[in-house]
Amino acid sequence: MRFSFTLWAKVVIARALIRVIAMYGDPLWILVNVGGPLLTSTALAFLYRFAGLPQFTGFAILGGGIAAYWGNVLWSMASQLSWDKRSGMLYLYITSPAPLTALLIGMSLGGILGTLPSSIAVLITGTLLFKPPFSPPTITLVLIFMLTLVALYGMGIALSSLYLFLSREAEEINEALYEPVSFLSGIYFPSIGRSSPLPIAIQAVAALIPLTIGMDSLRRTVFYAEGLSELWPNIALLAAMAVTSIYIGLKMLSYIERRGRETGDILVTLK
Amino acid sequence: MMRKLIASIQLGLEREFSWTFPPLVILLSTIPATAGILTVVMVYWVGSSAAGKLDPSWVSFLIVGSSLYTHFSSYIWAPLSAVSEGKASYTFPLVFISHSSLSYIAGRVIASFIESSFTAILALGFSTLTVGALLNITPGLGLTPLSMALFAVGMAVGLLAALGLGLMLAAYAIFVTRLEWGLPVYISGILMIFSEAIFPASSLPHPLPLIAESLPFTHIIRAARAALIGPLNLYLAEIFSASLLSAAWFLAGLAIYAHSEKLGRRRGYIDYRVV
Repeated sequence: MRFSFTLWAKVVIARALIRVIAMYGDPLWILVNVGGPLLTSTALAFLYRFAGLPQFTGFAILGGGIAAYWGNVLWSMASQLSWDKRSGMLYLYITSPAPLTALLIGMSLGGILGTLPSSIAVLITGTLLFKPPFSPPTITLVLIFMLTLVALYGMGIALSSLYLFLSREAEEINEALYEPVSFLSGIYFPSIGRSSPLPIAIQAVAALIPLTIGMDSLRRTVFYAEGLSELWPNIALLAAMAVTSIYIGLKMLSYIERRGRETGDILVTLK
Repeated sequence: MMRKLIASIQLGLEREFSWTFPPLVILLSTIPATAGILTVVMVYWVGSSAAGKLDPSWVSFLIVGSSLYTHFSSYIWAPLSAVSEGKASYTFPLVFISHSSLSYIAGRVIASFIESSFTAILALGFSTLTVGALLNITPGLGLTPLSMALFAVGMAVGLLAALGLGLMLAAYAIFVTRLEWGLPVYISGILMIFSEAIFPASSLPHPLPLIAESLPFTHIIRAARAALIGPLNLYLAEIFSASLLSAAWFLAGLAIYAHSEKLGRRRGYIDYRVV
């Protein structure tokens, strides 16, 4: 089929709008999504306070804000196509002229916009409860935040194409991935750098996850007021990871889609 | 009643384990449980090191509390899931018509408890070893046959409390038709804050410690710490409080579920499809 940018862009916007309307049109969704990250970050902020360093409660609050996105990537991006396969929606996607890559980019965009209220709710509530010291927001912070999200959703695109092969396993793998990746990427504590309690070898493995670089950069700009001059290597690495993860994700999806169309197994529900 | 319960436990175990190679199920649930415990330990380590107040003895406090918290939070949702999934797949109305919903729910909780117990004990062991390797310390856990037996008694008492809480959640699931999974997430989070899983309840602002004292889970976690870390003389008082509170929660859960089931039967909520 000939590539049409107009069609591709229309699909992106349409898929993103579904997410945005579903989320903003039903505040109950925001309430449901905010619970996990908010209460986890509150508990860990209490732990930081108990450990004797109330200034670090901000680490837990910031982690909660980003954990909302990490949860969205796993549950609403990675496993979405697998759910669509089981509910019969994937048949419609495959038979329509809508490119799957555009659907995933649209889902990512919608996921980012749709998770924003939950993430902001965690940050505001946590800040009001614990009053951690934050540096004023800067352009660097915005840039790092956006790059972190792009890299994170790039991971989601790559995972979603892998999950096309899976059925119930997708949910179990999501459950198995969420905590270990949260731990390694240091969502709630510095897992790389001088303050990390982890050995160098584990820090090296952790640094391969885009979320680790994103969290480290966010913490350094929000709590240590570091700017572009100190953080440019992180930003460059994050940008490279973002581009690479999206490229790999889209390539994998195209391959699986092409192979699935040829053999017909993309639509087979395994269990 | 007993036959129905055993059949439901078998069904629950089938659901938990049969989708893949059973040891893989245990491994897939042990890895995130261990990672969750390690996150809590690292948060304490980073905070207390920077504050210059590092006390390695607190690490075992965190490992035991987090292991049990992970255990409770991974199976308290089983009754809600049994009802909501059952409504979506039309199996729950059949269970309901056969007048065996209570044994069905209890069986599903016990099956989840069995899986989660394996996970909790393995996560306790793995996290103790991993923390030792990562931080170069030896968490002071006394893993003797007696301490493990006392720990297991605590888990069994916890089953009664979790069944009570689970029945309340199942009662809620009879009436809701969507986003029902949101409530267990809140309950897990609340337990993390109030059950003394990762910090002493006394460090909560007043009057919040009173909530912690009224939860059976707080006393079960304290009893488990007394068994594995000491002092052992605290165990009896804590397990006694835990048993009393667990029995109260179980009876309350039973009453709420029985009332909701009657209401659901009369108003036809059981046929409502979860969307």
